[in-house]
Amino acid sequence: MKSLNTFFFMFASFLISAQTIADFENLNLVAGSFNNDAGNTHQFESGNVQLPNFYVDDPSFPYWSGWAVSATIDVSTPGFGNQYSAIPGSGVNGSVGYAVCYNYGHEILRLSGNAKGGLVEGLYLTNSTYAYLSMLDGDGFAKKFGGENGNDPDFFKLTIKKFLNGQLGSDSVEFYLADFRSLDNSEDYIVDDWTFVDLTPLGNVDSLQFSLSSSDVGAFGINTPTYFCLDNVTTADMPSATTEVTPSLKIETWPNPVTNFLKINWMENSNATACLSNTYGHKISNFNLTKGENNLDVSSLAAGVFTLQVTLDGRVYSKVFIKN
Amino acid sequence: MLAQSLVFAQNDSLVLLPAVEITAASLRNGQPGSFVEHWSGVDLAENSTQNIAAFLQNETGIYLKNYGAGSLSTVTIRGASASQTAVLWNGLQIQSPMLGQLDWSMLPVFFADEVSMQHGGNSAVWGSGAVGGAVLMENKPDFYTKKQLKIATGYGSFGNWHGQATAKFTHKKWASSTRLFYQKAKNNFQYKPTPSLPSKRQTNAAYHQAGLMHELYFRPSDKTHFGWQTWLQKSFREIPPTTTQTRSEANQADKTARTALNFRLSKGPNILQAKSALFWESIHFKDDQTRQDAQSHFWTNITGLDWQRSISAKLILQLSGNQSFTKAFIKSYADSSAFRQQSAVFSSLRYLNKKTKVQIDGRQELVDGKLIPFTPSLGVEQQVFEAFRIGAKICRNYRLPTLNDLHWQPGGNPELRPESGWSNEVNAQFSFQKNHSSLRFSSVVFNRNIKNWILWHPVSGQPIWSAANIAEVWSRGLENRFHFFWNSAKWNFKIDAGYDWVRSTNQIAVELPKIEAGQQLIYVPEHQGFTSINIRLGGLGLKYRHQFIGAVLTELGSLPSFQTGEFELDFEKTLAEIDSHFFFQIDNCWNANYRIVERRPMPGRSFLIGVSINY
Repeated sequence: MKSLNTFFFMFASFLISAQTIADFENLNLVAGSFNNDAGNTHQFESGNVQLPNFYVDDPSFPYWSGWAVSATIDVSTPGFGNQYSAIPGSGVNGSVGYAVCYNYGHEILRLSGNAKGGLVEGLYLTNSTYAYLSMLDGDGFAKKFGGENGNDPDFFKLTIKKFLNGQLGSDSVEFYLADFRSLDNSEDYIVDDWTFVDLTPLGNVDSLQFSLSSSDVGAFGINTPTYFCLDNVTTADMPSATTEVTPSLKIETWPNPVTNFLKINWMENSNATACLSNTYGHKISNFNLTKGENNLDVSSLAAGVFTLQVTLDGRVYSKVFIKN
Repeated sequence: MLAQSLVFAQNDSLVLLPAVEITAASLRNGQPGSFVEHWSGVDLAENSTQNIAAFLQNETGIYLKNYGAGSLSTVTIRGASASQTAVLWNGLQIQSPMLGQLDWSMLPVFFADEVSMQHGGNSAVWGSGAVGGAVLMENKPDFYTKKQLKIATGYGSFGNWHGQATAKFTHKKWASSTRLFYQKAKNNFQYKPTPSLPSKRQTNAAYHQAGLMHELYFRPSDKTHFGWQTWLQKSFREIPPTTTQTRSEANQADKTARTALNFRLSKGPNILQAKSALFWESIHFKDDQTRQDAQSHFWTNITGLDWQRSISAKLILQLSGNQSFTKAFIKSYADSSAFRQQSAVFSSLRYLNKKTKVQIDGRQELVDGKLIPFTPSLGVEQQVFEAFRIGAKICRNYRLPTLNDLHWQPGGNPELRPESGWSNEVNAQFSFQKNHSSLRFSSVVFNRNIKNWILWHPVSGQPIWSAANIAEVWSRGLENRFHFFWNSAKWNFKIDAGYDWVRSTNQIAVELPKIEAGQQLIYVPEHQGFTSINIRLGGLGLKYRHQFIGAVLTELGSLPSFQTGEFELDFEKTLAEIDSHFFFQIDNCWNANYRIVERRPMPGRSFLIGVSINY
């Protein structure tokens, strides 16, 4: 019965939705190259998908987090120096481009255009070469999955949740990039090919949140390299359920990225409480919003990615912004 | 015998110590009220193939964090961090200014004539880093040995081979000593990852080391003395895989060059000493598998002047000043280099009579134009009755941020303050000596609080970690030592034992790295003990050492306690004026399966056989 329902649901979706596939080929990457700096837009765009990028051009050691786009093909070199490669050696079906996520806390995928607020029908996921070889062979910092005796119930799990109307959903889709939890070691696996993950169970979304967890964790956090790769995100251009039961909050925020003051135009009649949190979801401060233009001084914040969340009468507005 | 003013010196020897020059002890050595252990002569000669960390672990209560034979070794004294132990070669600090610590596997016992370990804080005397303790390696001129050639070699398990040679030559006012060593090992031992699994053989763990130390002394008169010491050393070591790593192709090459000139003039109650030294060290890490290739090196120049005056029979004053410059080079620093300039003045005043010693010290240091808070110390010692002595000490201690903490890109923090705090201790010693036997028992209670403890932690909103003064650590503990010695015309018998209890806890909870308030520091055992028994009949000697290391917390959880034993049989014989010494040693004789560092296996039972010949 469940299979039948799923069939009808998919069939219905097919009938009423046009699809857009974000395959990152529009970024015209040359095989062997990558881009970890999205420039002033701080995001990569493909199809109806936006991938936020954080990049600092440190003269000694440029660093980044969030999303990069890549066409590198190295499937054999272990270590941090090969952090932009996907273990299949290409994008889905041999395509050139794909996205790489360095998951430092929670990373976001935003829908744009006609896809916003609609279904994400699915996406393809795989391991980065860096994480794959680390789990396969271990390195000086992280363990070989299975441990010393091969029986450790290790796992490397990606959890995907949705934001809709600024509210983080409680439902999630879990995808094991590696799973050694079975008592039968022959069932242990590390994902080494592009794997389609159905996200229709999440329903309509504005954005997706990706979080990694691992069994190999210590005082310094996750030891497994927190990377995964993404390709061919299929979104529905005409959402199957676009009716908003709850009207969204009347609020505007700008500029993004911001340097000193984040301007917030609060157009609701009632005052509300806003919460500012960092990329780990840790609260930095709470403050009141009154009708009209509010100025939030962010000059003292370190450069990085932050989230502004406003709640009123059960309605939630959430905005990710970048502090220069 | 050495002139010394050490509180709990271990000066029993089974044979006569070689004669060395009698010198006035600096007030820096053997402060009243502090717990100091001292080794020289035979104690060091019997362990000349070891590094100083392994030697001290056997002899006293330091905790050696050892990644495996020939691999990185750091130490913990009284629950301090690895960078909170000062290491001094002839009174000059030799820790890396980039890391703030030293790889103790690169400190051969063979290159020291005397080794002292000063337990507890001593920053007033030695400056930055002397928080948990200080270890002193000393070279001493030998104007009494006209000619000497000593050759030693040994062969052991896992392809272990070492060769050593010492040549001494003295002519009138000149004395020269040259020491050479070479050591290598395949280090391909077998280990069991878990008791139920078949053994695995360690791979990519070979190492070799070579070193040269040359000393030249000139003594134009009894009152004037010139010295020049040079220490060259290089090592190459493969870095083995962890127990959860399939393979490793990483390796590291270290090179060290140290040279020091010193001058001493004694006139009446005054002693004037001047020193100047130049140190250079480089590290080259390479991993073909991950295509990593990282090189770094630094230069340090230290110049110092000491003046000591016996104001009266009961009062001694010392004034010192020193200046050091360091420049370090690595791509990870802005402009690929960093510089540090330090100037310090030190003064000390000691009062002593037959039963009482009191010493007050003070140090003021200027680092890159910024004053470090004044660092004082006060030590007292009282002979309550002939066999019983008590002492106490209080001092301020500090450790400067390392150049990596300050300048590493990204994450280095130029605004870091020194780690600093106060330590105090009370100690008591009972000693009894009669005819051919001696008995000694000592106990120390210590307490230390360090603020502004430096940790690297994640930066909010950015994917990097940065150094910050965010932790506070409270260390307290108890150190106990027992010593018994008995000899007759044919027999010698010696037993030493020790037990340390150390609680060293973080006082402030930290989210990452995850540390609970009140949690013991990682890799600091709460309990540690050792015992050694030494029996000698004529030229035949038998020694057994046993150590217990309590469980430790680690970055991944915890490691259980373990015990290891070491057995040694040796035989000395003199034929035609040639002294020969043969030894057979079993390390880890109970074949304990243990780990000191997470995922780093240690070898099981191993054997070493060797001989030394002294012309």
